Amino acid sequence: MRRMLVANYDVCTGCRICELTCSFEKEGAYNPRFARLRVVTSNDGLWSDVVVCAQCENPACLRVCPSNAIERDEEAGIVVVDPERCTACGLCAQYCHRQIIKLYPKDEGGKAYKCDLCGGRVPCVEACPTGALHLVELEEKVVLRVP
Amino acid sequence: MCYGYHERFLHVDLTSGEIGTFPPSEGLIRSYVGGRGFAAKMMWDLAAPKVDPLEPENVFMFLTGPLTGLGAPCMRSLIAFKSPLTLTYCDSYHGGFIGAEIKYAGYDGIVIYGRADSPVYLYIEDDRVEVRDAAHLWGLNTEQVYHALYKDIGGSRFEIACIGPAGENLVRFAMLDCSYHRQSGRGGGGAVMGSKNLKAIVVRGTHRLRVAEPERFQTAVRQAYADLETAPGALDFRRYATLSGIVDDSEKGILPTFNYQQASFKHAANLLGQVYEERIWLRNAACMGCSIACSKMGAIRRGKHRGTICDNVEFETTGTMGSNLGFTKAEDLQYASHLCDILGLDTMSTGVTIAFATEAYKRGILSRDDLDGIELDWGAADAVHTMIKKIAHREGIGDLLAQGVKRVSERLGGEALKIAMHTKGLETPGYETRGMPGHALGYATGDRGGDHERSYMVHYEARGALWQGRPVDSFAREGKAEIQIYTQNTTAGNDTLILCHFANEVGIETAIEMLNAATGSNLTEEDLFIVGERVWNITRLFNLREGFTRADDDLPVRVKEEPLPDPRVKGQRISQEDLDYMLDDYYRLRGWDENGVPTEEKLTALGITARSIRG
Repeated sequence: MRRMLVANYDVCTGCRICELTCSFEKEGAYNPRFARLRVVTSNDGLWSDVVVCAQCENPACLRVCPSNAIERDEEAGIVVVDPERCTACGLCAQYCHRQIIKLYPKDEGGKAYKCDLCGGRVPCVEACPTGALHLVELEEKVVLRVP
Repeated sequence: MCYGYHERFLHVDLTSGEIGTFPPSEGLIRSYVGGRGFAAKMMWDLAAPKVDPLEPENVFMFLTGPLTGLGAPCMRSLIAFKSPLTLTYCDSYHGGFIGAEIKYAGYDGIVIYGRADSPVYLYIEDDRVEVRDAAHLWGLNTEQVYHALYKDIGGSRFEIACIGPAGENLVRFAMLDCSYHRQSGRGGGGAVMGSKNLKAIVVRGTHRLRVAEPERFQTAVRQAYADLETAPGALDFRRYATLSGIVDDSEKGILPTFNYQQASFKHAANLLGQVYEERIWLRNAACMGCSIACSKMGAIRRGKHRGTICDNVEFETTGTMGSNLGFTKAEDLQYASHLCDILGLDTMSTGVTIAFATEAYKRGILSRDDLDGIELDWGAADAVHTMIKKIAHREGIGDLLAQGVKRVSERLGGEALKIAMHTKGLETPGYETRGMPGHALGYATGDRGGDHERSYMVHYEARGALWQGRPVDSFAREGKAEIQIYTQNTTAGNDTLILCHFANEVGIETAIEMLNAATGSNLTEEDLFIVGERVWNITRLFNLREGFTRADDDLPVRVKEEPLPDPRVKGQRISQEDLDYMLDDYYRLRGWDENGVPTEEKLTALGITARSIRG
């Protein structure tokens, strides 16, 4: 099983309420930079989108981690970081396709952090005023079928 | 630690290159809360009296509120300066994201003095503050500035505020544009930045903002969003931006038309939100933490300007530049508004100034030669678009019009003075006031000139809202000062937070609960009202210090002498006698003397002591 957030860019207004909510949930303080998802708006302002952790089937962060600090939690359907084992090398952030696994500032230890779906409560989804975020569950591996 | 504040302002002197920080003055937070309160007190403390606004000695500030950057909905930021247009105190607000970023960078505000030798921009990343060369940005329009800086500066997201060519060229109503097209429009802040050779500021920060009582704060924030989710006004803004009421305003006789010669426009329906929704808008866009998303990004798809990507036309732009210039096509007005956005002009002052020039031309006060051969006429969109560019670049007639209606009319003299629509030099907003004397009193007493953001009595005088449970007689002068003062003080209190006016359906109780939970303070609604009153008294002192008198609390000649022709408001005007009646009432209720000077008793009661008002 795999669970993940899905963003609908067609209704995203770029308000960043999801980022603020996430940062407060995870850091107990506000700054979107520390959110586990990221709102992006095009330079011409014509669209916004939310970059979310896909809890990848094939997670680059997990594959590159030299200290096995990143694992798949099969039961929760997510990819998690064990801060005990994380050595703050930064490879995961370097190779994440979406730069959505992040590192704390160096003076705070530089360890990795990422979206863990808040145990399924997903306050970001709840706070989104337009319904641009959804929590989905994929029961099987995603397979491309050629008809 | 003081939650909600950093208790630290960034100080930059562009002349010497000196950069530092300083703490808030004693009692600033307690007595003035933030935002507009900080602006009023700090302008009083820091602005050199009688300074020429475009000289290096003028101070220019970005200020935030205690809730800016937190999870509270719709908290904005502002710029404050002495206005080159009005020579008064001025603050001007913007949405977008830059206010939050200033807080994340670790400052409650940025205070800028001086003038750089050559064009610069200010780069702020936490404690790293650099004055950087902006030679490559000078001359660019606001969109070009964004694209150039997006390319220049890598890494994580940052926010930009900049000026266009109009600010560089010191057009007296040049504005500040924030990424992406959220503006501080009024009063000429863009010209003040231009006078400092400051093209832009770029900000990003890594501070995490904590609140005093997290759970209580979260509960209040949820309530605030719930308030907005069911509020009819907010839902209307979400669908139609500020443009659902144009036809209604026209029918009520409050929609400026043809330089305020009339107050209804027969093509008003062409400028409704519904038209833009069908033909131009593509999406809703929101400012930081806003669930309303009143901004509409779109593209002009027909006519000669097709392909232009633009932010939405606002109501005030429609009232000053749409009906007021006789525009009959949404696309034409959209393009005019867009030109102002990218060239860095306040659409409102620009619209009223061109409307003035149009009427002056039709009356023979200005000749075709004076206008460089441009055939200004009602609804002549191409001529208006050309004129906007000439103003921004100060070419030919644009150089004169760049001074604003007051200065142009004084230069022309005679009949021109009778058609100049401004108070204290600020071009009047998109509401015709002759049928709303209470609202007009707000323009007359406005501390940054005649203005719709200071107080809003349209609900009471044109839309049937009750005052203390009773209907308000639209055209009466009696009893209006009391309502005006109430709305001025509550609005100023609200602006200390700085809660967006479009989100004022967040109940005041909820707003104060958010404030108290975030900062650990214990303010009441009444306290905030008194803070608002304090703001009005200290900005009054500022303007008195600059030499303003009762005579400046005036209305345009047209409002005083020309009766309106439109059906509901037929024959209405506000005579000097009416104005004097309301001013006497207003000063008395404010605790000011008959010349509009705050009395010692009033100042003492507000805690504005001789020591705290020493300049």
